[in-house]
Amino acid sequence: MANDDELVSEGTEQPSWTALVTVHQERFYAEDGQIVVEGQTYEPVVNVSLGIIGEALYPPLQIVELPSENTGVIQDSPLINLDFFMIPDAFNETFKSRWSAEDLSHGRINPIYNYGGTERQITLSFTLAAFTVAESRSNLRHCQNLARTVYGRYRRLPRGLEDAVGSIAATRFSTIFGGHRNFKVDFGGLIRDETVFINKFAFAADMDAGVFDYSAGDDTDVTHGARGVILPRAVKIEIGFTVIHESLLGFGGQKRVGEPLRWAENRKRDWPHGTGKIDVQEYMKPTTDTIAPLPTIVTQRYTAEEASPDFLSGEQIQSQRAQAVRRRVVSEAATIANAAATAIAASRTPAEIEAALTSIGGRAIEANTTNIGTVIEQALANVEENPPD
Amino acid sequence: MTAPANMRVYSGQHKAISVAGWADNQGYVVRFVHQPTKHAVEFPALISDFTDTHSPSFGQEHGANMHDPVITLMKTTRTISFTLTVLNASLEEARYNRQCVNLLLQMLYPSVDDAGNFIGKPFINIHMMNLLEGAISGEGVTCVIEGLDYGIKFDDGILNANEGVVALNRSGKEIYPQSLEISISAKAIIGSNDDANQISPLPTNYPSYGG
Repeated sequence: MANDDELVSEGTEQPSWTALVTVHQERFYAEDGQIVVEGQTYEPVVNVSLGIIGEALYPPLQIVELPSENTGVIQDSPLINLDFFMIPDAFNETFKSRWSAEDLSHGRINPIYNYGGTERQITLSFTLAAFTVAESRSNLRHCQNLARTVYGRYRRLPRGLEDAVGSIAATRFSTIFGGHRNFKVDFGGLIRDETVFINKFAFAADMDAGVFDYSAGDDTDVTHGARGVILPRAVKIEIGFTVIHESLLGFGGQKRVGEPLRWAENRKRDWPHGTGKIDVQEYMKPTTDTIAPLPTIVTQRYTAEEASPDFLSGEQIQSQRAQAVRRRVVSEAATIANAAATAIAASRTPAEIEAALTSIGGRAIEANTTNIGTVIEQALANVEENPPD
Repeated sequence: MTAPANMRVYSGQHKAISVAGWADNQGYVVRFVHQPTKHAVEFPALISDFTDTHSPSFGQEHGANMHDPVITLMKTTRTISFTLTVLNASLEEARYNRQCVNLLLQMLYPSVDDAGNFIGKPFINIHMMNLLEGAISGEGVTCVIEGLDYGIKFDDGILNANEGVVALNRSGKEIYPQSLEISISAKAIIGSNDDANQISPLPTNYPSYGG
């Protein structure tokens, strides 16, 4: 087995390893320090160490940001989408159950335990190693994208500014905080397409592994031309996920009606970790997906009258409400018109006033509107211009 | 309706080279039973950091002209913690053990009714030879597991059976460590004594370490 010195070459020394691996459907091989892809020299050399070590042994880590569910907003930056090989160091998964205990009288042996739920968190530590300068830069790009995952989302919300007559005169953008980012994460059989938010990101440059030195001129595989830039040969990352499960977890449930011992998810797969080619256990096997009816959710409240045995259909209720509105409009119109007509009543006969009110009522019903003042003014103007006999 | 799962220690074709064979020979087995469903799973008892703490809590009153307080025993709680190491000697065993570990992790969840309400609290009965044994021989101690940590150290090695890990990655993205650790911290629920002739509600042999 190759020792560490052979895996990470020092200085300008040519690496002595030889390997043949497949990376992203392209065939790479490295021989005497030169990387060849399908018979051609490939520059810059990226994903070599991870291609040789990472992909050969481990599945890729995929982190894909889910777009915001809010509509009508503009994202502040492109969605984060990462898919790369790395060398995992440690994988830790913590299941934390929420129990509360009620202590009762002295001498009682056990308290009463109440269960509230179980949370799941994952911490993954890994190394991004670099054989070349280009790979080191690529690793740092991955790191900065990963670091962005723990910062909140900001959005631009368009807001129309109205002019004096109420029309949109200009659009102004407000920046608002959009909360945390949600991701889909996949890492082989250990994290399988889970929805998560990222609760931790820690970056450490492993200085013991060395850095690529500066040398005037263009970048080569082992030196870079940017003075004052440090490009580590290895960085160590620790990232934490809190899993948000999309389906009910437990035994039984809506998808397992009459099967209280079976796992609630009802999919032909193991949970939480994949087991590949072997069949799932009997209690995990899918059954007919007879989903129990959801409990009825009351979304509208009715008056006592509407909830009576003579319950009306929605259409009938709407019709009754419309009639009630019309009656109210006519009544209000008459009241207002009566008050307004008082001013001109001195010069009007009772017949004129009655005619005006009749006209107001009829127009109010036609208009079916609350803009009663206009109707009244028009009606009274008609009375003045064409007084009844 | 399906029967409760009863996943015993691995006994496949690689048992002879596995720690499972040794555990079976010695009777070193730790068994977990999910109380709401009676699903059960066993592992070879590669136990480290086992602690079983019985903690009394007292009320104290200090009187005038008294050096020492008047003590009132409030309650005694029992907390258990241990680390279980699961070793995989072959690909077949790794897959089987992963299903066993999956069941153990699932035991931290309750049983639920058709409307999605939690109805069966996830109490887990743990039996670990004579170290964790209930009032009845062969039965364990029912516990409330508050935290379970599942950890893989990749430096310990990953499985590279005849199929090769590269092949695994292409087919099913499977990844199996040679060893993984499961750390458990739990509070014990003390069984009650059903014998009407006994005054103490505690079982007569409680607590017992097989001495």
